[in-house]
Amino acid sequence: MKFIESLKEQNHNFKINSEKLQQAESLGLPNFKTELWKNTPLPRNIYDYSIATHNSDRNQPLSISDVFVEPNAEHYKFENGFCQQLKNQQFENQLIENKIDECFFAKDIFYLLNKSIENIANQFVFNHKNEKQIVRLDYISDAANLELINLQNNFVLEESANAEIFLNFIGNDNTIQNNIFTIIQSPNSHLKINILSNNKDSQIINNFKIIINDNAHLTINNISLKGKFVRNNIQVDINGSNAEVIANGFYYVSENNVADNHILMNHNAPNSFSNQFYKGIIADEGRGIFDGKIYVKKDAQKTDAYQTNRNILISQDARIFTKPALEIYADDVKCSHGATSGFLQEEEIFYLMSRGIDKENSQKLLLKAFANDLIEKISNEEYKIWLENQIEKILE
Amino acid sequence: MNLLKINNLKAKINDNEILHGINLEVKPGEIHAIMGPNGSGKSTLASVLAGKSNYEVTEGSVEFNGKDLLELAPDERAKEGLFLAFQYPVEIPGVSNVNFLRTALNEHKKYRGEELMEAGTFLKFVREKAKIIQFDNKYLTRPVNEGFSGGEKKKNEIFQMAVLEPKLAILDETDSGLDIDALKIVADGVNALRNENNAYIVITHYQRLLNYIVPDFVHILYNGKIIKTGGKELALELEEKGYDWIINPEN
Repeated sequence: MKFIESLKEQNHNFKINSEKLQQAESLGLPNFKTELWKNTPLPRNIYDYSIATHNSDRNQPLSISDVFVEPNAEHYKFENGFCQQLKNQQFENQLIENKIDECFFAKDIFYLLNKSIENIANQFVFNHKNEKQIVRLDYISDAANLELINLQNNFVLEESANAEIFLNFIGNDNTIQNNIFTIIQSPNSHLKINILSNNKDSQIINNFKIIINDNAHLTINNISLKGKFVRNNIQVDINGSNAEVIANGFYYVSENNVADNHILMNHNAPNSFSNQFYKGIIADEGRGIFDGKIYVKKDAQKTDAYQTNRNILISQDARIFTKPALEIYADDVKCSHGATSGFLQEEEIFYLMSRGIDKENSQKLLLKAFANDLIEKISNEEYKIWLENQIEKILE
Repeated sequence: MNLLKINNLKAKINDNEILHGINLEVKPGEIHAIMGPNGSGKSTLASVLAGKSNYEVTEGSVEFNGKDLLELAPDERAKEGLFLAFQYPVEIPGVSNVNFLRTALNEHKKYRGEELMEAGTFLKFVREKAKIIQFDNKYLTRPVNEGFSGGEKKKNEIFQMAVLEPKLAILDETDSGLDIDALKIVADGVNALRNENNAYIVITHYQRLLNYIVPDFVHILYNGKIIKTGGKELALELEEKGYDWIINPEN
């Protein structure tokens, strides 16, 4: 594996944790027997990717397009893992380090590989009270050679902070982004995270570890409309009471692309609420993977936790692997899960056609409606309209 | 001139012939009721006319508005002026009633080479239509039929009919599942929309609806064929005596 070898060499500025790197190497790449990857084909030529360094060649810089421009946002741009604006602020990731490694993807080669680099973290702290802070981060990878790009971003919300974060992933197909996001929400804080993959060549592996405490509210809008390979591992640890997590997701997968969402909602404390609502449209020879779990600890009584995954396949060769799961050790909870997958309903198409709308437009209308049913849960009105337009364009 | 002319229509589903030769002529301004026991082919006839793909026409012809109806796709039939009020209207989450209807109406207008309707003009237009048939405005912006009661769904069918102004509307058991008040509202709507240029085929099990929508002709469909045709008094006779005296006249 070239990326392991290139970290072992000394011609970079990374501080390497050789124990972790050793673990990554001995683990090797996942295959169809690896539970977390069994339905997910890896990006092609993965063995040939080396690690991106500060001086990555960029032959054709990618321009930022097809991202939502939130006018009030503070804007940061990461290029091949590095942010000019923050170059003096990189530091070692010590954010309650031990707790962070308790995640379902901790034994994943990409996670270990990333964590074996100790001095690449950037940290964003939100501490304004009674004022919403909005940040937009564009992650651009446009290296000329095959490169695996590692990045670590931490977001810390202090007590009663209120933040909205836009994470835009934009890459060419020479690069694989391998990102770790660590998010800590203090009591009474509110956070919205908007994850967006809307670039046709992107190859992205995102690892999110989110810890939320008492009375904290978290909304995740996880949208992938384009991208060759998009994998999101998301773990939320609800460690406080009266906390609320809304996890919305939508994926459109075309060509022979892959969109994969692995989610673990850990209810570790009583009286909290979570709802996962994921919808997907799979076209062509696309492949969608949804693996979602609600875990309720023994002490997490009065938990309300729900999960729904709905898929529409619009081609005979499209595939979806969906696995909703519940693991409950408390006895006084309200939980549900469910998944559906199928083609568009003939009766629905016929109903629209019988009113004068032709077949193609009837199908488009139904797909748009299917998507909008999820998109309309997004409370940022401008972002919602922007997404609806993007989806309309894709369905054309 | 006939608006609709059905000649010896035979149709099957999964190798099972349901319609065994239907003949029917409908002129503008007329109301035809089709009655018959369960399984006689009433809803099949409606579905075949609207163009549902799981039925296969094996024989016969249908001329509508001077065109070969069976050659047209369902949406083209609609744009030629055919409307089916569904027995079980489909719920379409995520599509608002007005957006759906504006898309549909503009497809009709495109087909006829007319100017499309702007959102504002359309809204005014649908509000007027809603008023005529006493359809509550609150349903306009809701997703099509989603969470509607049975009665609301049927009213929504009549509302769509009011907006699309068809030449021929087929009401497929629109009265089933309606209480007497809802039935009256639906019937009043139909009567308000009625004129000398449009026609209705009313498919029903019960004479009750025909007290409100008074037919010019009543046809009895049995075992895939029209076995008797009469005036509105035929429906009353059925109500009293059932179907048996027609099906087995020698008894």
